[in-house]
Amino acid sequence: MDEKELERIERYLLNDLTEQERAAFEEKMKADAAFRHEVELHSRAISAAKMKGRELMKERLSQRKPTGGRSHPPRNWVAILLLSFLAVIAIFWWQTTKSDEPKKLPENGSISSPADTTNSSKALPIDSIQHQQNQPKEEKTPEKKNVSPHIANKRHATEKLFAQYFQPYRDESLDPSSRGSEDEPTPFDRFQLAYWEGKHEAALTAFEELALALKRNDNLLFLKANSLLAVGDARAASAIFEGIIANGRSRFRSQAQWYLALAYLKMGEQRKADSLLKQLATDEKNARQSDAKKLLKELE
Amino acid sequence: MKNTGLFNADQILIAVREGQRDAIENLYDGFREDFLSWAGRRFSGNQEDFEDAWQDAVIVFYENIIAGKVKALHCEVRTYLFAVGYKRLLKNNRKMKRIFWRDDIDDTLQKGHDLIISEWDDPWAEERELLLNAMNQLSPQCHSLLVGRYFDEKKLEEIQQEFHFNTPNSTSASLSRCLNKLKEIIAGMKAGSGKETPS
Repeated sequence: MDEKELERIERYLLNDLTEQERAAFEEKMKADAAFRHEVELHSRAISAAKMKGRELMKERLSQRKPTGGRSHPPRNWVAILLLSFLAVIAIFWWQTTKSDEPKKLPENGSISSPADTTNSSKALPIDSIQHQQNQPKEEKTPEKKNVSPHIANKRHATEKLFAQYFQPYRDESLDPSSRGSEDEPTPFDRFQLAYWEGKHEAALTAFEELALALKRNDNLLFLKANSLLAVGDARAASAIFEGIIANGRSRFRSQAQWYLALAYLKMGEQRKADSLLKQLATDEKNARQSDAKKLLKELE
Repeated sequence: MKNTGLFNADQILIAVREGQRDAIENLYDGFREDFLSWAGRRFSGNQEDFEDAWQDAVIVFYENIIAGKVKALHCEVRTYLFAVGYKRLLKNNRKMKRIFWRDDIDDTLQKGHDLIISEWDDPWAEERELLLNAMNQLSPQCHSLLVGRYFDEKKLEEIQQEFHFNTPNSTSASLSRCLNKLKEIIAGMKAGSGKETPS
Protein backbone atom coordinates (compact mmCIF):
# COMPACT_ATOMS: atom_id res chain seq x y z
CA MET A 1 0.00 0.00 0.00
CA ASP A 2 1.45 3.35 -0.99
CA GLU A 3 2.16 6.27 1.34
CA LYS A 4 -0.75 8.33 0.04
CA GLU A 5 -3.23 5.58 0.75
CA LEU A 6 -1.84 5.16 4.26
CA GLU A 7 -2.11 8.87 4.82
CA ARG A 8 -5.74 8.75 3.71
CA ILE A 9 -6.43 5.91 6.17
CA GLU A 10 -4.87 7.94 8.93
CA ARG A 11 -6.92 11.01 8.06
CA TYR A 12 -10.05 8.88 8.04
CA LEU A 13 -9.27 7.48 11.48
CA LEU A 14 -8.48 10.92 12.83
CA ASN A 15 -11.76 12.23 11.43
CA ASP A 16 -9.90 14.53 9.11
CA LEU A 17 -11.57 13.75 5.75
CA THR A 18 -14.17 15.94 4.08
CA GLU A 19 -17.64 14.49 3.79
CA GLN A 20 -17.09 13.65 0.16
CA GLU A 21 -13.73 12.02 0.81
CA ARG A 22 -15.23 10.10 3.69
CA ALA A 23 -18.07 8.71 1.59
CA ALA A 24 -15.63 7.57 -1.11
CA PHE A 25 -13.42 6.02 1.53
CA GLU A 26 -16.28 4.07 3.06
CA GLU A 27 -17.39 2.87 -0.36
CA LYS A 28 -13.92 1.51 -0.96
CA MET A 29 -13.97 -0.25 2.40
CA LYS A 30 -17.20 -1.97 1.50
CA ALA A 31 -15.90 -3.16 -1.84
CA ASP A 32 -12.30 -4.05 -1.00
CA ALA A 33 -11.71 -6.59 1.77
CA ALA A 34 -7.92 -6.15 1.78
CA PHE A 35 -8.32 -2.41 2.13
CA ARG A 36 -10.81 -2.91 4.96
CA HIS A 37 -8.34 -5.19 6.71
CA GLU A 38 -5.60 -2.56 6.38
CA VAL A 39 -7.85 0.12 7.87
CA GLU A 40 -8.71 -2.15 10.76
CA LEU A 41 -5.05 -2.94 11.43
CA HIS A 42 -4.12 0.72 11.26
CA SER A 43 -6.90 1.56 13.67
CA ARG A 44 -5.74 -1.08 16.14
CA ALA A 45 -2.18 0.22 15.96
CA ILE A 46 -3.36 3.74 16.80
CA SER A 47 -5.51 2.36 19.61
CA ALA A 48 -2.46 0.55 20.96
CA ALA A 49 -0.44 3.78 21.02
CA LYS A 50 -3.29 5.66 22.71
CA MET A 51 -3.80 2.94 25.28
CA LYS A 52 -0.10 2.88 26.05
CA GLY A 53 -0.14 6.66 26.41
CA ARG A 54 -2.98 6.46 28.89
CA GLU A 55 -1.27 3.69 30.79
CA LEU A 56 1.94 5.72 31.04
CA MET A 57 0.07 8.81 32.16
CA LYS A 58 -1.78 6.81 34.79
CA GLU A 59 1.49 5.41 36.05
CA ARG A 60 2.98 8.87 36.21
CA LEU A 61 -0.01 10.19 38.13
CA SER A 62 0.03 7.23 40.53
CA GLN A 63 3.66 7.88 41.32
CA ARG A 64 2.97 11.45 42.33
CA LYS A 65 3.04 11.88 46.05
CA PRO A 66 0.18 13.88 47.49
CA THR A 67 1.46 17.42 47.90
CA GLY A 68 -1.51 18.65 49.82
CA GLY A 69 -1.90 21.37 47.19
CA ARG A 70 -5.63 21.73 47.45
CA SER A 71 -7.59 24.75 46.40
CA HIS A 72 -10.07 24.53 49.26
CA PRO A 73 -9.46 23.95 52.93
CA PRO A 74 -10.67 20.53 54.09
CA ARG A 75 -14.28 20.60 55.17
CA ASN A 76 -13.55 18.74 58.38
CA TRP A 77 -10.92 21.26 59.51
CA VAL A 78 -12.65 21.79 62.83
CA ALA A 79 -12.16 18.12 63.67
CA ILE A 80 -8.50 18.34 62.61
CA LEU A 81 -7.95 21.41 64.82
CA LEU A 82 -9.59 19.66 67.76
CA LEU A 83 -7.48 16.55 67.28
CA SER A 84 -4.31 18.65 67.06
CA PHE A 85 -5.25 20.42 70.29
CA LEU A 86 -5.87 17.11 72.05
CA ALA A 87 -2.55 15.76 70.72
CA VAL A 88 -0.68 18.78 72.15
CA ILE A 89 -2.33 18.26 75.56
CA ALA A 90 -1.49 14.54 75.47
CA ILE A 91 2.17 15.22 74.64
CA PHE A 92 2.38 17.82 77.43
CA TRP A 93 0.83 15.41 79.93
CA TRP A 94 3.11 12.57 78.85
CA GLN A 95 6.23 14.71 79.21
CA THR A 96 5.31 15.99 82.67
CA THR A 97 4.52 12.51 84.01
CA LYS A 98 7.73 11.15 82.41
CA SER A 99 9.85 13.81 84.16
CA ASP A 100 8.86 12.27 87.53
CA GLU A 101 11.21 9.34 87.00
CA PRO A 102 14.36 10.54 85.22
CA LYS A 103 16.88 9.33 87.78
CA LYS A 104 16.47 5.65 86.96
CA LEU A 105 18.27 5.98 83.64
CA PRO A 106 21.78 7.07 84.73
CA GLU A 107 22.04 4.07 87.08
CA ASN A 108 22.37 1.85 84.02
CA GLY A 109 25.19 3.99 82.70
CA SER A 110 23.59 4.32 79.27
CA ILE A 111 23.32 8.07 79.19
CA SER A 112 26.61 9.84 79.58
CA SER A 113 25.49 13.22 80.84
CA PRO A 114 22.43 13.96 82.94
CA ALA A 115 22.74 17.56 81.80
CA ASP A 116 22.02 16.54 78.23
CA THR A 117 18.29 17.07 78.44
CA THR A 118 17.88 17.48 74.70
CA ASN A 119 19.09 13.99 73.94
CA SER A 120 16.18 12.37 72.12
CA SER A 121 17.43 8.90 72.95
CA LYS A 122 16.42 9.56 76.55
CA ALA A 123 12.88 8.59 75.69
CA LEU A 124 13.97 5.25 74.31
CA PRO A 125 14.17 2.02 76.31
CA ILE A 126 17.66 1.26 77.60
CA ASP A 127 18.05 -1.81 75.36
CA SER A 128 17.47 0.19 72.25
CA ILE A 129 19.98 2.85 73.29
CA GLN A 130 22.63 0.19 73.85
CA HIS A 131 21.71 -1.41 70.56
CA GLN A 132 22.16 1.89 68.77
CA GLN A 133 25.55 2.33 70.40
CA ASN A 134 26.61 -1.11 69.22
CA GLN A 135 25.73 -0.49 65.57
CA PRO A 136 28.81 -0.63 63.34
CA LYS A 137 29.41 2.95 62.25
CA GLU A 138 31.06 2.08 58.95
CA GLU A 139 27.67 0.85 57.69
CA LYS A 140 26.36 4.40 57.56
CA THR A 141 29.51 6.01 56.20
CA PRO A 142 31.01 3.56 53.75
CA GLU A 143 33.00 6.23 52.03
CA LYS A 144 34.66 7.90 55.01
CA LYS A 145 38.35 8.56 54.62
CA ASN A 146 39.90 7.09 57.79
CA VAL A 147 38.95 3.45 57.38
CA SER A 148 40.64 0.69 59.32
CA PRO A 149 43.06 -1.63 57.43
CA HIS A 150 40.56 -4.48 57.83
CA ILE A 151 37.79 -2.49 56.18
CA ALA A 152 40.15 -1.22 53.50
CA ASN A 153 41.17 -4.79 52.64
CA LYS A 154 37.55 -5.90 52.54
CA ARG A 155 36.68 -2.97 50.29
CA HIS A 156 39.59 -3.83 48.02
CA ALA A 157 38.36 -7.42 47.78
CA THR A 158 34.79 -6.42 46.86
CA GLU A 159 36.05 -3.95 44.25
CA LYS A 160 38.17 -6.72 42.78
CA LEU A 161 35.16 -8.99 42.58
CA PHE A 162 33.17 -6.21 40.98
CA ALA A 163 35.84 -5.79 38.31
CA GLN A 164 35.88 -9.53 37.75
CA TYR A 165 32.11 -9.84 37.31
CA PHE A 166 31.00 -6.57 35.77
CA GLN A 167 30.42 -6.48 32.04
CA PRO A 168 28.07 -3.79 30.68
CA TYR A 169 24.85 -5.45 29.55
CA ARG A 170 24.58 -6.43 25.88
CA ASP A 171 22.19 -8.40 23.75
CA GLU A 172 21.47 -8.59 20.05
CA SER A 173 18.54 -6.23 20.19
CA LEU A 174 20.91 -3.43 21.19
CA ASP A 175 23.06 -3.84 18.08
CA PRO A 176 22.66 -0.54 16.21
CA SER A 177 23.26 -2.23 12.85
CA SER A 178 19.91 -4.02 13.23
CA ARG A 179 18.03 -0.72 13.11
CA GLY A 180 16.91 1.23 10.12
CA SER A 181 19.14 4.22 9.50
CA GLU A 182 18.20 7.88 9.24
CA ASP A 183 19.94 10.35 6.97
CA GLU A 184 21.68 11.84 9.99
CA PRO A 185 22.02 9.96 13.28
CA THR A 186 19.64 11.18 15.95
CA PRO A 187 20.80 11.48 19.61
CA PHE A 188 19.14 8.11 20.16
CA ASP A 189 21.28 6.56 17.40
CA ARG A 190 24.38 8.19 18.86
CA PHE A 191 23.57 6.90 22.33
CA GLN A 192 22.93 3.40 21.05
CA LEU A 193 26.11 3.33 18.97
CA ALA A 194 28.34 4.71 21.75
CA TYR A 195 26.89 2.20 24.21
CA TRP A 196 27.34 -0.69 21.81
CA GLU A 197 30.94 0.30 21.14
CA GLY A 198 31.66 0.53 24.87
CA LYS A 199 32.28 4.29 24.76
CA HIS A 200 30.46 4.94 27.97
CA GLU A 201 31.45 8.56 28.55
CA ALA A 202 30.13 9.35 25.06
CA ALA A 203 27.00 7.29 25.70
CA LEU A 204 26.29 9.31 28.84
CA THR A 205 26.75 12.57 26.95
CA ALA A 206 24.42 11.39 24.18
CA PHE A 207 21.86 10.27 26.76
CA GLU A 208 21.56 13.81 28.06
CA GLU A 209 20.60 14.97 24.56
CA LEU A 210 17.71 12.51 24.25
CA ALA A 211 14.11 13.64 24.24
CA LEU A 212 12.55 13.80 27.71
CA ALA A 213 10.25 10.88 26.95
CA LEU A 214 13.25 8.72 26.13
CA LYS A 215 15.17 9.87 29.18
CA ARG A 216 12.30 8.59 31.31
CA ASN A 217 12.20 5.24 29.55
CA ASP A 218 13.26 2.52 31.98
CA ASN A 219 14.90 0.40 29.27
CA LEU A 220 17.16 3.28 28.29
CA LEU A 221 17.75 4.21 31.92
CA PHE A 222 18.97 0.65 32.44
CA LEU A 223 21.60 1.17 29.75
CA LYS A 224 22.51 4.56 31.19
CA ALA A 225 23.02 2.98 34.62
CA ASN A 226 25.29 0.38 33.02
CA SER A 227 27.34 3.18 31.48
CA LEU A 228 27.51 4.91 34.87
CA LEU A 229 28.78 1.71 36.45
CA ALA A 230 31.34 1.36 33.67
CA VAL A 231 32.72 4.83 34.37
CA GLY A 232 32.75 4.19 38.13
CA ASP A 233 29.70 6.11 39.35
CA ALA A 234 28.14 3.23 41.27
CA ARG A 235 26.04 5.46 43.51
CA ALA A 236 24.17 7.11 40.63
CA ALA A 237 23.85 3.74 38.89
CA SER A 238 22.40 2.07 41.97
CA ALA A 239 19.72 4.77 42.33
CA ILE A 240 18.62 4.15 38.73
CA PHE A 241 18.60 0.36 39.11
CA GLU A 242 16.52 0.68 42.29
CA GLY A 243 14.00 2.81 40.41
CA ILE A 244 13.78 0.32 37.54
CA ILE A 245 13.18 -2.57 39.93
CA ALA A 246 10.54 -0.62 41.85
CA ASN A 247 8.72 0.44 38.67
CA GLY A 248 8.69 -3.09 37.30
CA ARG A 249 8.09 -1.86 33.74
CA SER A 250 11.40 -2.59 32.10
CA ARG A 251 12.19 -5.74 30.21
CA PHE A 252 15.57 -5.49 31.96
CA ARG A 253 14.04 -5.63 35.43
CA SER A 254 15.60 -8.95 36.40
CA GLN A 255 18.96 -7.95 34.92
CA ALA A 256 18.74 -4.73 36.93
CA GLN A 257 18.78 -6.80 40.15
CA TRP A 258 22.09 -8.36 39.18
CA TYR A 259 23.62 -5.02 38.25
CA LEU A 260 22.29 -3.42 41.43
CA ALA A 261 24.06 -6.12 43.45
CA LEU A 262 27.28 -5.32 41.57
CA ALA A 263 26.81 -1.60 42.20
CA TYR A 264 26.43 -2.31 45.93
CA LEU A 265 29.64 -4.33 45.81
CA LYS A 266 31.44 -1.48 44.12
CA MET A 267 30.19 0.89 46.83
CA GLY A 268 31.41 -1.48 49.56
CA GLU A 269 27.87 -2.22 50.74
CA GLN A 270 28.39 -5.95 50.92
CA ARG A 271 25.46 -6.70 53.17
CA LYS A 272 23.01 -5.23 50.65
CA ALA A 273 24.78 -7.04 47.80
CA ASP A 274 24.62 -10.34 49.70
CA SER A 275 20.93 -10.02 50.36
CA LEU A 276 20.14 -9.24 46.73
CA LEU A 277 22.39 -12.03 45.44
CA LYS A 278 20.69 -14.52 47.74
CA GLN A 279 17.34 -13.58 46.22
CA LEU A 280 18.75 -13.99 42.72
CA ALA A 281 20.36 -17.32 43.58
CA THR A 282 16.97 -18.77 44.49
CA ASP A 283 15.12 -17.31 41.52
CA GLU A 284 15.12 -19.99 38.86
CA LYS A 285 13.63 -17.72 36.26
CA ASN A 286 16.37 -15.16 36.57
CA ALA A 287 18.98 -15.35 33.83
CA ARG A 288 21.61 -14.34 36.36
CA GLN A 289 20.90 -17.11 38.85
CA SER A 290 24.13 -19.03 38.23
CA ASP A 291 26.23 -15.83 38.22
CA ALA A 292 24.67 -14.89 41.55
CA LYS A 293 25.47 -18.32 43.04
CA LYS A 294 29.10 -18.08 41.92
CA LEU A 295 29.56 -14.59 43.24
CA LEU A 296 27.96 -15.49 46.56
CA LYS A 297 30.45 -18.33 46.98
CA GLU A 298 33.33 -15.97 46.40
CA LEU A 299 31.95 -13.52 48.90
CA GLU A 300 31.71 -16.14 51.67
CA MET B 1 -13.77 33.11 32.59
CA LYS B 2 -14.14 30.55 35.32
CA ASN B 3 -11.74 30.61 38.18
CA THR B 4 -11.51 27.95 40.84
CA GLY B 5 -9.06 29.14 43.42
CA LEU B 6 -5.63 28.42 42.06
CA PHE B 7 -6.94 26.78 38.92
CA ASN B 8 -8.04 29.04 36.15
CA ALA B 9 -9.78 27.03 33.41
CA ASP B 10 -8.58 29.15 30.51
CA GLN B 11 -5.00 29.09 31.69
CA ILE B 12 -5.09 25.32 32.09
CA LEU B 13 -6.53 24.83 28.61
CA ILE B 14 -3.81 27.00 27.09
CA ALA B 15 -1.03 25.34 29.10
CA VAL B 16 -2.14 21.83 28.13
CA ARG B 17 -2.46 22.79 24.46
CA GLU B 18 1.07 24.13 24.64
CA GLY B 19 2.25 20.79 25.94
CA GLN B 20 2.88 21.82 29.55
CA ARG B 21 2.34 18.51 31.26
CA ASP B 22 2.82 19.92 34.75
CA ALA B 23 -0.40 21.93 34.36
CA ILE B 24 -2.40 18.73 34.28
CA GLU B 25 -0.29 17.16 37.00
CA ASN B 26 -0.81 20.14 39.29
CA LEU B 27 -4.50 19.89 38.66
CA TYR B 28 -4.36 16.21 39.54
CA ASP B 29 -2.61 16.99 42.83
CA GLY B 30 -4.71 20.06 43.56
CA PHE B 31 -8.13 18.43 43.65
CA ARG B 32 -7.11 14.85 44.46
CA GLU B 33 -7.79 14.91 48.18
CA ASP B 34 -10.97 16.86 47.62
CA PHE B 35 -12.22 14.30 45.07
CA LEU B 36 -11.33 11.30 47.24
CA SER B 37 -13.16 12.80 50.15
CA TRP B 38 -16.16 13.77 48.01
CA ALA B 39 -16.33 10.35 46.36
CA GLY B 40 -16.08 8.72 49.79
CA ARG B 41 -19.17 10.64 50.86
CA ARG B 42 -21.08 9.92 47.68
CA PHE B 43 -20.20 6.28 47.04
CA SER B 44 -19.75 3.23 49.12
CA GLY B 45 -16.53 2.03 47.53
CA ASN B 46 -12.86 1.67 48.31
CA GLN B 47 -10.03 4.17 48.05
CA GLU B 48 -8.47 2.35 45.09
CA ASP B 49 -11.64 2.74 43.00
CA PHE B 50 -11.83 6.42 43.83
CA GLU B 51 -8.16 6.95 43.02
CA ASP B 52 -8.63 5.12 39.73
CA ALA B 53 -11.65 7.22 38.81
CA TRP B 54 -9.77 10.41 39.63
CA GLN B 55 -6.87 9.45 37.39
CA ASP B 56 -9.29 8.58 34.58
CA ALA B 57 -11.08 11.90 35.00
CA VAL B 58 -7.86 13.87 34.67
CA ILE B 59 -6.70 11.82 31.67
CA VAL B 60 -10.09 12.24 29.93
CA PHE B 61 -9.83 15.99 30.50
CA TYR B 62 -6.31 15.97 29.06
CA GLU B 63 -7.34 13.94 26.00
CA ASN B 64 -10.38 16.11 25.35
CA ILE B 65 -8.29 19.26 25.39
CA ILE B 66 -5.62 17.78 23.14
CA ALA B 67 -8.21 16.46 20.67
CA GLY B 68 -9.87 19.89 20.57
CA LYS B 69 -13.12 18.54 22.02
CA VAL B 70 -12.90 20.93 24.95
CA LYS B 71 -12.16 24.44 23.78
CA ALA B 72 -13.62 26.35 26.72
CA LEU B 73 -15.30 25.42 29.97
CA HIS B 74 -18.68 26.78 31.00
CA CYS B 75 -18.40 25.33 34.47
CA GLU B 76 -15.61 25.22 37.01
CA VAL B 77 -12.67 22.90 36.37
CA ARG B 78 -13.42 21.14 39.64
CA THR B 79 -17.04 20.54 38.67
CA TYR B 80 -16.03 19.23 35.25
CA LEU B 81 -13.47 16.83 36.67
CA PHE B 82 -15.73 15.63 39.45
CA ALA B 83 -18.54 15.00 37.00
CA VAL B 84 -16.25 12.92 34.77
CA GLY B 85 -14.96 11.04 37.82
CA TYR B 86 -18.54 10.44 38.91
CA LYS B 87 -19.43 8.94 35.54
CA ARG B 88 -16.33 6.75 35.63
CA LEU B 89 -17.24 5.47 39.08
CA LEU B 90 -20.71 4.57 37.89
CA LYS B 91 -19.42 2.95 34.71
CA ASN B 92 -16.54 1.00 36.20
CA ASN B 93 -18.35 -0.10 39.29
CA ARG B 94 -21.92 -0.80 38.40
CA LYS B 95 -22.50 -2.52 41.69
CA MET B 96 -21.01 0.30 43.72
CA LYS B 97 -23.58 1.58 46.10
CA ARG B 98 -24.41 5.20 45.52
CA ILE B 99 -25.33 7.30 48.51
CA PHE B 100 -28.16 9.56 47.44
CA TRP B 101 -28.04 13.24 47.91
CA ARG B 102 -27.66 16.09 45.52
CA ASP B 103 -24.89 18.59 45.03
CA ASP B 104 -23.51 20.84 42.29
CA ILE B 105 -22.05 17.87 40.42
CA ASP B 106 -25.51 16.31 39.96
CA ASP B 107 -26.85 19.63 38.73
CA THR B 108 -24.03 19.92 36.22
CA LEU B 109 -24.57 16.39 34.95
CA GLN B 110 -28.32 16.91 34.72
CA LYS B 111 -28.02 20.15 32.80
CA GLY B 112 -25.59 18.49 30.41
CA HIS B 113 -23.50 21.65 30.18
CA ASP B 114 -20.50 21.20 27.94
CA LEU B 115 -19.36 17.95 29.44
CA ILE B 116 -17.79 15.69 26.93
CA ILE B 117 -17.21 12.43 28.63
CA SER B 118 -14.94 10.48 26.35
CA GLU B 119 -16.02 7.08 25.33
CA TRP B 120 -12.60 5.56 25.62
CA ASP B 121 -11.59 2.82 23.26
CA ASP B 122 -12.47 0.16 25.73
CA PRO B 123 -11.57 -3.12 24.11
CA TRP B 124 -12.10 -6.33 25.95
CA ALA B 125 -9.29 -7.47 28.21
CA GLU B 126 -7.66 -9.90 25.77
CA GLU B 127 -7.45 -7.37 22.95
CA ARG B 128 -6.18 -4.73 25.37
CA GLU B 129 -3.42 -7.01 26.56
CA LEU B 130 -2.48 -7.91 22.99
CA LEU B 131 -2.22 -4.28 21.94
CA LEU B 132 -0.22 -3.26 24.99
CA ASN B 133 2.13 -6.24 24.51
CA ALA B 134 2.62 -5.22 20.90
CA MET B 135 3.59 -1.71 22.03
CA ASN B 136 6.05 -3.16 24.53
CA GLN B 137 7.85 -4.98 21.76
CA LEU B 138 8.77 -1.78 19.97
CA SER B 139 12.11 -0.05 20.43
CA PRO B 140 12.05 2.76 23.02
CA GLN B 141 12.32 5.31 20.22
CA CYS B 142 9.33 3.92 18.29
CA HIS B 143 7.38 3.55 21.51
CA SER B 144 7.85 7.21 22.43
CA LEU B 145 7.28 8.44 18.87
CA LEU B 146 3.93 6.67 18.57
CA VAL B 147 2.72 7.70 22.03
CA GLY B 148 3.75 11.28 21.26
CA ARG B 149 1.95 11.26 17.92
CA TYR B 150 -1.27 9.45 18.77
CA PHE B 151 -1.80 9.97 22.50
CA ASP B 152 -0.32 13.42 22.98
CA GLU B 153 -1.36 14.30 19.40
CA LYS B 154 1.88 16.14 18.78
CA LYS B 155 2.41 17.72 15.40
CA LEU B 156 5.17 16.53 13.12
CA GLU B 157 7.19 19.69 13.77
CA GLU B 158 6.98 19.18 17.53
CA ILE B 159 8.12 15.59 17.17
CA GLN B 160 10.93 16.63 14.84
CA GLN B 161 12.14 19.14 17.41
CA GLU B 162 11.74 16.90 20.43
CA PHE B 163 13.43 13.89 18.89
CA HIS B 164 16.04 15.90 16.98
CA PHE B 165 15.14 14.72 13.50
CA ASN B 166 16.71 16.76 10.73
CA THR B 167 13.77 17.14 8.37
CA PRO B 168 9.99 16.68 8.41
CA ASN B 169 10.54 13.90 5.89
CA SER B 170 12.82 11.92 8.14
CA THR B 171 10.36 12.45 11.04
CA SER B 172 7.50 11.24 8.95
CA ALA B 173 9.51 8.28 7.63
CA SER B 174 10.46 7.24 11.17
CA LEU B 175 6.87 7.48 12.36
CA SER B 176 5.65 5.49 9.43
CA ARG B 177 8.34 2.84 9.93
CA CYS B 178 7.37 2.52 13.59
CA LEU B 179 3.67 2.31 12.81
CA ASN B 180 4.33 -0.38 10.20
CA LYS B 181 6.44 -2.31 12.67
CA LEU B 182 3.61 -2.10 15.21
CA LYS B 183 1.08 -3.28 12.62
CA GLU B 184 3.36 -6.15 11.73
CA ILE B 185 3.61 -7.18 15.39
CA ILE B 186 -0.16 -6.92 15.91
CA ALA B 187 -0.89 -8.92 12.75
CA GLY B 188 1.68 -11.53 13.77
CA MET B 189 0.27 -11.82 17.27
CA LYS B 190 -3.26 -12.19 16.01
CA ALA B 191 -2.19 -14.91 13.65
CA GLY B 192 -0.75 -16.69 16.65
CA SER B 193 2.82 -16.33 15.44
CA GLY B 194 3.66 -13.34 17.61
CA LYS B 195 7.42 -13.57 17.55
CA GLU B 196 8.89 -11.76 20.52
CA THR B 197 11.23 -9.19 19.08
CA PRO B 198 13.16 -7.48 21.81
CA SER B 199 13.04 -3.71 21.84
